[in-house]
Amino acid sequence: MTGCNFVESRIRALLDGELESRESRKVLAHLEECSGCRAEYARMQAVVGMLHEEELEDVPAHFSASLQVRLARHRRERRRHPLSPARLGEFLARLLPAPPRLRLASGLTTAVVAVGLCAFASTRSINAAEVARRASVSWRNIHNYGCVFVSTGTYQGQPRTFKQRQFFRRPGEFRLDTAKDYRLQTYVYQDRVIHYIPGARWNDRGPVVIVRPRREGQEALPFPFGVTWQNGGNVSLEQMVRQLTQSPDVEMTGSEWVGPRECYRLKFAATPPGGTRQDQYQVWIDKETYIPRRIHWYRDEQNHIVTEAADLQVNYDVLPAGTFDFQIPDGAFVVHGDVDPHTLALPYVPKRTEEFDRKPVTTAHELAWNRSDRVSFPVLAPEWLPADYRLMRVRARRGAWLDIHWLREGEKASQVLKLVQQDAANEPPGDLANGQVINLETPQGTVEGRLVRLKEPYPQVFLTWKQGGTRLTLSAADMPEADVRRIAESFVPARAPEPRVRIVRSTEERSLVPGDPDFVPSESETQVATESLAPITSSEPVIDMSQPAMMPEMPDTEPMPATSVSSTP
Amino acid sequence: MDDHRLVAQFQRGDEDAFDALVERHRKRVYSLVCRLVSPAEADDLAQDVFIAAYKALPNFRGDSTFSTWIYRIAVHVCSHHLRKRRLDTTDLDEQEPDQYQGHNPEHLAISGELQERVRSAIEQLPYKLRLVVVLRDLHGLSYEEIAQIVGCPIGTVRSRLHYATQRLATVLRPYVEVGS
Repeated sequence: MTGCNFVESRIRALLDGELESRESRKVLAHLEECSGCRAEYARMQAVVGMLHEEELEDVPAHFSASLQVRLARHRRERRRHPLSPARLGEFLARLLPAPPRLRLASGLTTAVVAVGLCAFASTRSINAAEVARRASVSWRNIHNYGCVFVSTGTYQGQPRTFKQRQFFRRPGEFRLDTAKDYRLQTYVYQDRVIHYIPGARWNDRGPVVIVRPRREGQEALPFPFGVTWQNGGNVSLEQMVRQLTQSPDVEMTGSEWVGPRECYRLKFAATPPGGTRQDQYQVWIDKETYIPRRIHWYRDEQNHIVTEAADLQVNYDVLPAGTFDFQIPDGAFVVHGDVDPHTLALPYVPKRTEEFDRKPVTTAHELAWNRSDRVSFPVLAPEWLPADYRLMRVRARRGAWLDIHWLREGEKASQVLKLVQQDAANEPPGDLANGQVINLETPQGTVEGRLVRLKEPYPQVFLTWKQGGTRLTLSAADMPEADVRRIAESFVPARAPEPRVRIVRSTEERSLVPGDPDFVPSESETQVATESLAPITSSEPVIDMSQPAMMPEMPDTEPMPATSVSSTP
Repeated sequence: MDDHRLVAQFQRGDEDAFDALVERHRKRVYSLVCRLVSPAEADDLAQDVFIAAYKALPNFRGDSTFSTWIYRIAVHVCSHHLRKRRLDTTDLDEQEPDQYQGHNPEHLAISGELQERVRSAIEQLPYKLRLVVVLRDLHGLSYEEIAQIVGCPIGTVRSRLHYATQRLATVLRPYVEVGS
């Protein structure tokens, strides 16, 4: 007689039809007689019935796109080395009738056969809208990437080249490394942007670390392309993909290789946010990953840039450990303020003097007045500042804007107060357009201002208003709001320098009286010197404000797209 | 076109053939991975399976079916992942299932909670038992195929299924009690 243990251990196999017929008969015979085993059989049958009700999980919609992104790297590798000689021999041995077998003796033979194999590559037909859609899906499934982007072309008639290493991870953190004119690492976190400038010093303190608030609307960082919209914002991949999917006239113009990747080439026209005219764009979209690899922006003969992503790696073991972790070095000079790195990293022109520290209000008036002939709007300056603020620098871009920075030095962190002036026709910049409305009692009467407060990463106040023909925007770190208002209400037209004011230029002193032939630097419209009371000398770098923004610059509150610096005079 | 021909096409250089194989097997692979590791990790690991397959397929000789082969890779990827994370490995007695704190089975069935209970009961099984249950009851593989995939004798598959079913019957007792 068959025992219960023997039967019980075979019930499951019996239910599955996996028992041999002899065993099966034995088990069935036992079940006829044993109520305990019959109960066990019924129990197991019920369980198996429940299990069979279970359904296979649905694959997430993005699965294939994500996989394609990851496969791309391996496909690229395979394209580079379609078949190793050993594998090729093995492969041909399978293909060719034997004997005779082809013996591969030379690299040339390998290459010829490999080229022949490329003819197997697919030539699926796909339209522009579908490519745009897949690009959109692909972008949504990028969790992280690393790449080098390289821009070349012409901007406002001047040659432009730029190279930057980028890392990205969702939901929106970046690290951007450049070394064009000074080494700079930028870390973009959720609520702040940190610029680390190892070589910069302030009063012999350094390296410099700038901590800026990351503001609303600043989520758009260039991936992987440094194309800049006319208003100074950067074109992110996300924006580009959105533009692609929304443009009704996207046109497929062919297929082309970008480096090792075969790409669809799409063409479309788009008006940048805040712009008034359409520019022409061509985008090369990878055929496998659907990630843009190259963008060609064309406005006219004087303005056209090609940006290409090199060494692009996505979603898979590409980011070195610690890529996004920044620790402030011991002894670093930490600055709070919505300040671009140039302000602290570039040499001061002209050199700072004790007047900058002793008379931060008067000197600001005089330097601003000296630059007032570069802009069309009236230039103003404050009559009052809180204690301990020193003048850092005054800059101007011809025909566009003028800014002034002051700094209050602290032990743990120093604070920057920034003033930007533009023509009053400019709208409030960025999120200030929706800021709180306040009234300011200026010497020229009551005016309406817009105010935005940020609490993170430290208290920061932004305030903008129109006074006469000028729009003024103040941004102040760690400063009581009442002080910001008091500064704002103290603005008057910038005063001319008094005759006694002299500022050291290199090794000699020179008069700053306007009209002095050396007073106005000889500069072209496209190459603007900043804070140059003195002419630019060959040893001093020139800020090329004419170039489109590269990151690490975030879109500024002022229309200041320049972050690229030419080291040549 | 069957898997065999797609594999041959891929080995001749047709990348599209691999995409077709992915399309054909992704649901089974994803679903298996989903049951063996946490659903949150399933996405990445299922992709790992296909990446590994992509790299290994040029050397695939066709000794087993492509389906069995990709299952084997999936099991390997999951086992390796779990081992790395020092999650449960396989002693049959190392985990005691939570005792069910019952509700009315009819109500649960109607509300869909029964399905959740079954899913949860499967999740509570030790890895090796869970593996055979998923391959057999959800994917409908034969004992022989499971033995090939898992790399063990058929007798082991049979005994693991027996133990697994017993454990599930215990956990799901409120739903499987029958009159003697």
